Amino acid sequence: MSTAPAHKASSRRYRVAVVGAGPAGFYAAEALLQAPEGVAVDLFDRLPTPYGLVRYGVAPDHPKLKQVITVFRAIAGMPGFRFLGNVTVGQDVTLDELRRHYHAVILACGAQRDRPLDVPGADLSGVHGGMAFVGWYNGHPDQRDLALDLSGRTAVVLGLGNVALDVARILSKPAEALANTDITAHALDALARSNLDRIIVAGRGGPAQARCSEKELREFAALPAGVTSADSGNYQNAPESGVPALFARLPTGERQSSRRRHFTFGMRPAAILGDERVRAVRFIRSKVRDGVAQPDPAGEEETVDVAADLVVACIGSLATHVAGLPLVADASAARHELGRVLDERGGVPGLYVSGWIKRGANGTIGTNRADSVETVACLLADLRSLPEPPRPVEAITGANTPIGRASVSFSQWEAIDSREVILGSTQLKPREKFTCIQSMLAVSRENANQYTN
Amino acid sequence: MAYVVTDNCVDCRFTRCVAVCPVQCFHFDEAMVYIDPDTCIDCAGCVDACPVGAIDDEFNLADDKRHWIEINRERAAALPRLTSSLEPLPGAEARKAALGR
Repeated sequence: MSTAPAHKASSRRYRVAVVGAGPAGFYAAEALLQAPEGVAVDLFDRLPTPYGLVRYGVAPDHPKLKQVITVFRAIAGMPGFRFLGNVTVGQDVTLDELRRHYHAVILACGAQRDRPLDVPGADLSGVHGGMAFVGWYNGHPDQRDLALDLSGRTAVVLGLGNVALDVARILSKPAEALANTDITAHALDALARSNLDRIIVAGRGGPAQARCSEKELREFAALPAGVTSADSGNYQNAPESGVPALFARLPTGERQSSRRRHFTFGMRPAAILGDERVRAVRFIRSKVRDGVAQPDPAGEEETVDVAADLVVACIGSLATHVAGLPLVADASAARHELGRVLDERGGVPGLYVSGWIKRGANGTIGTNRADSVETVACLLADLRSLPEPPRPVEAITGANTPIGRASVSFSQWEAIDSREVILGSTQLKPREKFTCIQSMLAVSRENANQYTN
Repeated sequence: MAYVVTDNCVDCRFTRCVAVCPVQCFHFDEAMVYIDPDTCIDCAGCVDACPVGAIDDEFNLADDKRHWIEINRERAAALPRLTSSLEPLPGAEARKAALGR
């Protein structure tokens, strides 16, 4: 493989490593590259592919959101930018080592871990996390072997955020409605053979506490098959706008239909029941008044068992593990102030965070732009007081280094990208993703050989 | 379908929307900002960022606001793009209060 092009160092006095090539990483790179101080940026990703959750998180039936990639490609074309894919910080290079070669490091590697469902039976077969499930239908290499069994009739999705709604929608849609999206082939095959005809979306809170967006919820009214219903929010005055109004407009009773979707509220999971495989979810049910769940402190609430063949827990994410990075108490994000990482002694010089690892898993794609602008403003303010890195960048990224040999450059990624588009076009899909890292690397290597032959 | 800036923006122009727009689809004149509907990717990030509730989904617009769809399209095409937030217009806070925000 060829190595990333060497930086034209002359006009760029400083060098910064950004870890994670999702939206937060790209917007951090953009803000750094525009700075008058003169900063060169190396954007690392553990996968050979850039764009993070735009590629592996945004649902395949939301193609418009993925148009943001046009902006990322323009950033990749800015002078001073290099992409180094297929490099795992913490494995191929330690964070401390990286810090010895760059003036500063921005961690923008997200919140990739599903928050564990902390109830008995959560480890039964058939119970999955939302991020893992989303990665599966989006062709994430880590989830290609996720053995999803869709042979049962009932799926229970836990949570009322946008991830829960994405999962419920993908499970509900007829496979034909997804066939011309970039959904990954193994997921489309599995969904085409799915026997699921009842999707229950269960939230701990009431409809007024749901974190999903109006736009996501509105899509349920327009699904091509079956009916959608929801528990009543028991309002005194019906809500007029927003998510609560959309829930209130759904029929309250579950109707008989070939594919049914039902939203149920005030449902706190207490256990997953089953022997080896999940058979049901046991909930503690709170009363819902005026759209809000009312947990009974006396604990005399109703217990409800809901039959389930598949459970997907979309109950939030934990910050991606980076050895040595201090996290807040619930592990949802790093400890920081305006993006400057804090340990027990105070600020860690030259170490920053942006995106989900900074603020937790929330917001829209653009939230990361404002977030990265804030982090980069702090970094630029600190830049003159940061010590000169003792080692040069080329000592870890140069042609004869392990990273230099293994890393995938942006033009090599573009070769993978073109091949995916060609593979997709034969099936009338915008692309067919490679789900195996070795296949991606083989394609990027072929391209390099074309130039050398 | 895109998002639309409506009259609450006039004489405020807080431009917090611009900071969270992932695709830089805002354009501006001396009074307010406008969304280029062909660039907007419907992420909805600007809706919650606006302190005066000026931005909404086309789908939600009341009949007496629907003409703003065309105004946004026309004005965005004719005006310069805005890539970072501006100072709010003088009197923006007073107008925000007058709007009951």
